[in-house]
Amino acid sequence: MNTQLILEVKDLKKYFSIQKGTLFSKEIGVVKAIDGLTFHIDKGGTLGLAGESGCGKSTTGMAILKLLEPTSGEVLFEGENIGHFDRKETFIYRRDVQAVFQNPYASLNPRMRIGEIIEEPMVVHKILNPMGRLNRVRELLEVVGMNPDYLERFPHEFSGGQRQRIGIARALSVNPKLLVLDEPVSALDVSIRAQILNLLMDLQREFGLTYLFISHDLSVVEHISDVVAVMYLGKLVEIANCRDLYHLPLHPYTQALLSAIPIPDPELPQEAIVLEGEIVDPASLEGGCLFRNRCPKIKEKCNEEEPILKEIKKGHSVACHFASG
Amino acid sequence: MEEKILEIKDLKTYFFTNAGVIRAVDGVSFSLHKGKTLGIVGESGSGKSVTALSILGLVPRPAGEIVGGEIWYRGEDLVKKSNREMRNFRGKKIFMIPQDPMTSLNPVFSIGDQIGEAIKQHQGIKGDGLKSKIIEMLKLVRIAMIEKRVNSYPHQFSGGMKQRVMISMALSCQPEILIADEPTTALDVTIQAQILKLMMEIRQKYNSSIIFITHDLGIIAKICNDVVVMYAGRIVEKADVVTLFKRHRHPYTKGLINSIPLLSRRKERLLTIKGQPPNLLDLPDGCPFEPRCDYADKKCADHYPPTELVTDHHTICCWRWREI
Repeated sequence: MNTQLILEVKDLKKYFSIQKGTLFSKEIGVVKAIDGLTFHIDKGGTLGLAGESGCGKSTTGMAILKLLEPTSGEVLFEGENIGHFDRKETFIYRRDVQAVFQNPYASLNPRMRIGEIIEEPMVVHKILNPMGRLNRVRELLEVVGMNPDYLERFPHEFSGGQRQRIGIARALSVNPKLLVLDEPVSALDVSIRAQILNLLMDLQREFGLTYLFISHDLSVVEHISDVVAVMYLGKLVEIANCRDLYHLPLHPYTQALLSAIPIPDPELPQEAIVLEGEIVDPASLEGGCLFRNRCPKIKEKCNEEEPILKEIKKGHSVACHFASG
Repeated sequence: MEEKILEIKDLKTYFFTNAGVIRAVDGVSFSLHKGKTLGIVGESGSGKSVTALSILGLVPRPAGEIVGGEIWYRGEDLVKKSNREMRNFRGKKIFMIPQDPMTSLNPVFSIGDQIGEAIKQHQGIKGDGLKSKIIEMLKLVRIAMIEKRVNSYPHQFSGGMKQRVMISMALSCQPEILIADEPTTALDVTIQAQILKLMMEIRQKYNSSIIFITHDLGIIAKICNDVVVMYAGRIVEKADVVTLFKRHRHPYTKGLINSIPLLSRRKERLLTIKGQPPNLLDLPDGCPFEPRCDYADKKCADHYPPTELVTDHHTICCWRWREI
């Protein structure tokens, strides 16, 4: 086993069945939210998982957090299959892997004081005595850049950015090894977003944390990640070292995504590759490339055969028939 | 000479709440030129949307009220118009594309009915002509297989398609001024690129003027001619787009531009604006940006800075802009 790997995901699939009727319900179809994902995260590194809404990136996060039972495939944490964990092992796993969610207005209990919110994971996991926990809460508030005297306050007294800091402090309270960050900055204003990104990078350096960073915003993903994986309709279309992916994207979808980010420079001419059409039901695209209805470079072969993810250069894999390094 | 189509002078829109008076828009002046796009940037709570609602006469009552200022459109002051007069005005002359396409369409009427209503109201077309006009309008915004979809309901459309429906509604009213309040914020990047392209084509075709409200400076750089930066209900800097990005003088504008993660500045610390956005109920006497500003001194805390001209087309509201 490679000790450098903290998390391995192997051929992970999660299908949701669509049911019709309430009493005599029957399955009328399946949604393949994630369909055969394979990737790994190095200890102390950051994997950025990018893609548009509905591509399955949050479902992947949920499966890794063991909040969803995958249909097939496995998730290995430090070499152990999390699907085989018993109650006690799951309990410990949930201490080691913590989450920060997108909406800081919904992820904090409005009736609990900030101190209680940050302390709760430590109470659950029986860490420290009450006095020690109080000190730890004050310390954590300081770590995330807030005044330790705020611990008696309620969530509604804080702005979005401050709430996100509280969410991060709560996640850090039990010394996790892996943080699943599901769109942690999407709901924040630009100036606050930069503060939180800086905080996350500082914390990673200080505590040796590993991040799974889920976001639809490629410029944010690029800023924080070491390796970036791009998803489309439940599958990985490209995964590479961050620098390679942004300098030389090989998949037409990644190319379009990157070119669609408006660059804040009015004098720089930018020709966005505008993809026609929208994401459609993948069931209608079976038997070929899932991206073919929007792809500007479609050829005969794309209709007939589904491309598989293959390594084109070292550490750079693409699922496209016509990609070449 | 550029034709001024809309001129706003010292607009003040306040909200009177139990907790106190919120000066959401506090002395805002700018003008919009024919065929141009004006961008309004700012963070949440800076007053960008309330400015748009004030122009349309849609400030939520009774809490909100335009307490001062003028909005001039073709020799008429919109602030003085009655509700009835404004109703005739909205849609026909000024149309607003709201932020959230998911909630801006009525869920119990079909797409065709809702566009038809706008066409009937503003172009007076009825009967057989109406149906073909509806399809023509929806084709303009490139919704595929529209003949089959015209009787669909909003929930059967995706976010991008709903936003297209809103744009086609705007087009069927042929307004002179289009106000777009964060029209792409709720959409994915690839769909955003489609919608922006469409809006630019429309601007060219109909020579309409657009007020584009957003917090995304990338979009501003791509599509706007002039930019207004708002902070805590006031305009802090106003310039043409190139000046604003290349020769901005206000510390807040500078902070905003520097805090965008750029594709070239990887893994470096982002330059941030320290602190939190201001509480509008408790604004300081001086410059509202003073607590977060790296350049602030005593004067900034005590007195609100005057609006000064840097050049003819570049105004700024900062005590220390000459030193920045």
